[in-house]
Amino acid sequence: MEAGREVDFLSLKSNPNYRMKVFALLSFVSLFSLANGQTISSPEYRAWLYTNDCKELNGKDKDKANAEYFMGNDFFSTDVYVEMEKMGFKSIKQVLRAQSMSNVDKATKYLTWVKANQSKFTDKAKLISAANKAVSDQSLVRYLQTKGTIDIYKLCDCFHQNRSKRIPDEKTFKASPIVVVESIDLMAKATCLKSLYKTKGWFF
Amino acid sequence: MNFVLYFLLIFNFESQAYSSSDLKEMLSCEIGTDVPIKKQSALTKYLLNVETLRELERQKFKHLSQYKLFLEEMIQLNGIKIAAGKSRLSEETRALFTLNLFIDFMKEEGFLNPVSVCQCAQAIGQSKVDKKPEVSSKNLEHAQIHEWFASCIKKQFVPTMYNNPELEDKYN
Repeated sequence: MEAGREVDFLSLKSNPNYRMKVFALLSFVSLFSLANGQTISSPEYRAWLYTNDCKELNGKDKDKANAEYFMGNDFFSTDVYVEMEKMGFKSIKQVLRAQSMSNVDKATKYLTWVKANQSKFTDKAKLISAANKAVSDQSLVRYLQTKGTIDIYKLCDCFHQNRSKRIPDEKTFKASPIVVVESIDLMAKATCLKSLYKTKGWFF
Repeated sequence: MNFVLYFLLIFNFESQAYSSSDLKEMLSCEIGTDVPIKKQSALTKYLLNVETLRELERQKFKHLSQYKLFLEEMIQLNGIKIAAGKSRLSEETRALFTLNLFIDFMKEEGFLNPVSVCQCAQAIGQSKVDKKPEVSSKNLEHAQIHEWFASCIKKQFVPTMYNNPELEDKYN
């Protein structure tokens, strides 16, 4: 563009080449935005969708990511176990035992921590709160992972792939009643836990 | 743990129904498909009852936490199995299912043999009645039965799964 020369926007807009370029540019921006998830308008869908960054579970801050992911997704609930049982999973007893063992593990760590640190606290409530904080990452997931019972990265990946088969986009999400979405989540969790639990040789 | 207590209270509510029955009736240790469920439920009632747990605490049972953990597992397993069942079970079938699951689970894990615990409690009761004829089986109190069950659980319980010294209950 030459200096001092005014651009005639009106005539430019009527130019078919210009319109083609603008259309191409807008299409590109739209496609780019879609690929980056920027066209998502509903916060509910965003919340539902953006729980799926499984890479973070093996990343730098993995302990925090694991705790947040598994606390938020509630994989190890009675509802999920009921679905697994319906699907013919034969080891519910072991799953429950794992839960108990992780509770025992957590309780033991809690008691050990309290014993080692109680002299530092004069206030009992503060001691309890600090002890809870110190053992908060000793969740069932961590327990299962350290025992080699489940690969949590695979579990996360399987879960998101499985439910994305049923709800591929925002349109389908919005069209689905909340109970349907919840049921899809539940079934995906049960399917993945059932296929990924390594039940042979548990605790024996 | 609230869920456990709720379940225990459900088992508890019938306890007065047996107050005028004789010892053998109150403490039937028979199990099997041909035995009426009401007769069999006495067995689990005393094993699972919250009063028995309180009695175990009073008797300073050092594996009480483990026993409670086990009960919690059993109750959750029972709930899952019943919820996953294809058909709705009648109350009686459900009670029978729970009873069998409980007995199998306990035996499998090697914690207790419920029948043998029951027979042990029955023997204590019989010896009390034999020693003091004025204690007729008709005025036996349920508190006493919980006490007998607790001492038999204490004697026979084998801490197989959660054998962790840190978890042993300590009493002053």
